[in-house]
Amino acid sequence: MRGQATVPKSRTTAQAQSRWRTLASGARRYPLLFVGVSLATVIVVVGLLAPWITPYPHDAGSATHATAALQSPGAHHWFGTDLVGRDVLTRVVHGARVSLAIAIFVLLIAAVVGLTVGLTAGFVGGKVDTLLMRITDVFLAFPALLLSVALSAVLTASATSAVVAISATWWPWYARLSRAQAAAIRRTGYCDAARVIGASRSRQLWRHVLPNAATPVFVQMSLDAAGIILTAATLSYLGLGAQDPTPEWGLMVSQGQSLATTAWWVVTFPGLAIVLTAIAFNFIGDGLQTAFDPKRARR
Amino acid sequence: MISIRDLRIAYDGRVVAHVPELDLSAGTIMGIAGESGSGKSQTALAVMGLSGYAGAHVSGSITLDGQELTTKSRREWQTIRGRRIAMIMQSPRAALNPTVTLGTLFRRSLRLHGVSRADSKARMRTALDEVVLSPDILDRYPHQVSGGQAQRFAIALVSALRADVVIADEPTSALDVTVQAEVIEVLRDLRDRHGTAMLFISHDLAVISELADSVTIMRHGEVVESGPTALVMQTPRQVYTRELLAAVPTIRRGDPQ
Amino acid sequence: MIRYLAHRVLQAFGVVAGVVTLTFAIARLIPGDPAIAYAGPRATTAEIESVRQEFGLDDPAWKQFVSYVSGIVRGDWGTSLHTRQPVIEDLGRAIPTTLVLVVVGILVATAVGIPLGVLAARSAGRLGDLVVKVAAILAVSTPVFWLAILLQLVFFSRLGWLPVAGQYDPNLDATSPLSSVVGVPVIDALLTGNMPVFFSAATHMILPVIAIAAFPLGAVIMVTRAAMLENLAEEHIRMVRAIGFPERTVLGRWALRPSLNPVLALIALVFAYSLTNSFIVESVFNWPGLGSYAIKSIQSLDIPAILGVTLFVALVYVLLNVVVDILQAFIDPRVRA
Repeated sequence: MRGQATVPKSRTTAQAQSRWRTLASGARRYPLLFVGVSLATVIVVVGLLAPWITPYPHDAGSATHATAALQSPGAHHWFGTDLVGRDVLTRVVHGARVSLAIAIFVLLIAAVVGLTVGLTAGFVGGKVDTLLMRITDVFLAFPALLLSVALSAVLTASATSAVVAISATWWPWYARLSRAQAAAIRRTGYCDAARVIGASRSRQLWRHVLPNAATPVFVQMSLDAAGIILTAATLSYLGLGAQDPTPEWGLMVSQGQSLATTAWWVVTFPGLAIVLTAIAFNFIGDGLQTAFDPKRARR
Repeated sequence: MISIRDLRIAYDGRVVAHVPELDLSAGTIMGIAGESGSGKSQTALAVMGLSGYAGAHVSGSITLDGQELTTKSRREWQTIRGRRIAMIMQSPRAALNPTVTLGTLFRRSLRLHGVSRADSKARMRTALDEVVLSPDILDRYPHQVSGGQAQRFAIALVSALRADVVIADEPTSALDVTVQAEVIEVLRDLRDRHGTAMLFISHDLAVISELADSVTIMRHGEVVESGPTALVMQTPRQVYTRELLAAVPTIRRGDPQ
Repeated sequence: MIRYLAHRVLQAFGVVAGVVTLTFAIARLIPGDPAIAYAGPRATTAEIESVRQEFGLDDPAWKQFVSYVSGIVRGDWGTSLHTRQPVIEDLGRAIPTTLVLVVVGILVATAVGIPLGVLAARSAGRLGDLVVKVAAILAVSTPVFWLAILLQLVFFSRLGWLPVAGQYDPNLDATSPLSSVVGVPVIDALLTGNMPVFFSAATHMILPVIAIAAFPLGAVIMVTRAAMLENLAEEHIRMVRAIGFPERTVLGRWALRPSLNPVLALIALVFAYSLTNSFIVESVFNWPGLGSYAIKSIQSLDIPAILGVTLFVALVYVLLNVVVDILQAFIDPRVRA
């Protein structure tokens, strides 16, 4: 019968629907960010659940099956097996844990060291500033890979040494970035104002100032996640990072390199994993930049 | 020269400016006054055909000597912009490309509109004379000149291009009061000497009352009042206009109130 | 302008000094006894001892550092422990090969990247922009070592279109022997008019150049796009549009020139990064450049050689930054202030 009033939706359904709508409009406006976050989430979740969702979890450890070596992708081994018969799919999925762990640790260390140096330099200024920035310049002038290689040669190669080596090359960027922010804040007179107002109320000031200053750092971090994963993979490829049997993607590529022409799967899948993960974080970083851009770089 | 009828400028469906009727005659200066957000700058951009670059949707009619401008293609606009209608912007130094000298900008603009090399030299010299700038300024970069010099340069450029209509979008707002007077003098000279019609956009009623022959007052995107300057200033019909006039400081000689 | 230059050069010296110190410090920390490595596994204690004396390996750290630094300034960069030649000569032989690869790669990346970046800026927010952005991010996310291997797999193993490794076809040595001028086959062949070798060398360059140009290409696209978008929003662009310049001129000349500044800075950064990437590409494609020299040096704990390579790369980086600063000052007059 026409004119019948529609049954009102329950509040929770309406809320859920509006949330989906916001998500959909967000996805349309920032497609890359959306894809990046989704992809990264999938990778992180898959990596976390690796021991339970992979078919041959022991292959990520020290198990070897000489008889099953170099099988091409098929029903039992979707990604085939490597030189010593380990399931490539399992090792690639576990590789996510290794790479993500390295990225997290490096970001933490680099950010802590870099921000300490940079913020000190920016806020204190003067001679301290110049000295700290010269030191930063020297580390910046040192090509990242070479420094990582050199440090890895000094410490015995392992995933941990890779973390230390990469952190040593990564902190200068955070130092530069945070120093610029700190110097800019200092210039705006917030510090003097804070001192005049008194300590407790100055904390209110920081709550407004810091978020703005923090955004570029967060964008940098997501872009860096990709770079760190690539550097870690390169170090392992060169034999200066994680060692066998750790399922690190770069290591897997180097292990399969000599047989690449016949056993293409040993080299291809780990490489694809690296590319996908790096792309995910790069999409996030780029998406964040576009989303927080004050000029809204569209049209 | 310029006639606007039922102009509507919208961003994402939201109308930011609505001008039902506006006529600019040759050799006159029409002031468009209002606070920020009143839609006056949007109107100026629409007359130049530049609204599209910012993502606006324009409906209605804007004619130049009978030619409809809202339907012109980009290529057609190239013969109109600079040559028939020119524009002067609010931040004079920011409006000049930082990587070339003022002279380079001047030369290229003239060459673009088909002025021969010899004629260009003559025109530039005359134009700079009229705005009281030394030819040395042609060798300077935008960051090396003052705001007032940059704005007078812009006016010289526009004058050398022999545009019939000049749209001045808040040309004095970024300048000191003393420099403002110089620029206003130069603009008045442009009208008197070359018969240039002008749309002068400003939030400063005092400046408009000095310079404009007629005035249109806008608020929140709508036209509130319009007419000859003296008339509007002395007998404002709308409450808003009266409030605006009341807000003008009265330390000026020859104050209409 | 001169004062700016002088200041920059002085700054550069300071950084170089820091790099030398850091390099030396790290090299000292590398475990293993270089004297034994040099003398060989069957050397007697006496021989090892004489090696130590000869290279001053027993001296205190500071003394070794001083003699190292004074040597560098004099042009004596030490003697390589694994080639037994002066490090500087080894570098002289290896550098041209690497430089050709990197320079060509960067040139390709710039020539292709800048127009694509402008294109992306022009269609900002629309499909063209999205496609270019995704391609650029893909280029930046692909590890060099994997890309090199993949290129070999696809273009040599599967398609047979391009050679797998080497600088030119060695069979040509019999029919058209190559005389050495610079030490780089493709250049030498061109200079001596040896066409067969030139074409062979050129085709042998394609895959390595693609491998090394991928990352810079992506980076140049992104930076150009960002700089263009920022400039396109500026008043001076609205001004030239209002003067009546056609859109392609607005983009290609008025917006591009101020945008080149950050692109140049990026190229300096990316050049040093590509230099180290070239080591990997050289290793995969079997090119006798700095890469193989560096790898052999690391494997044989050849400290003078390692120091030499590191110092060279760091010097290139510093030099490049100075050159870029000069170019930036040239392009954008505001920098000179």
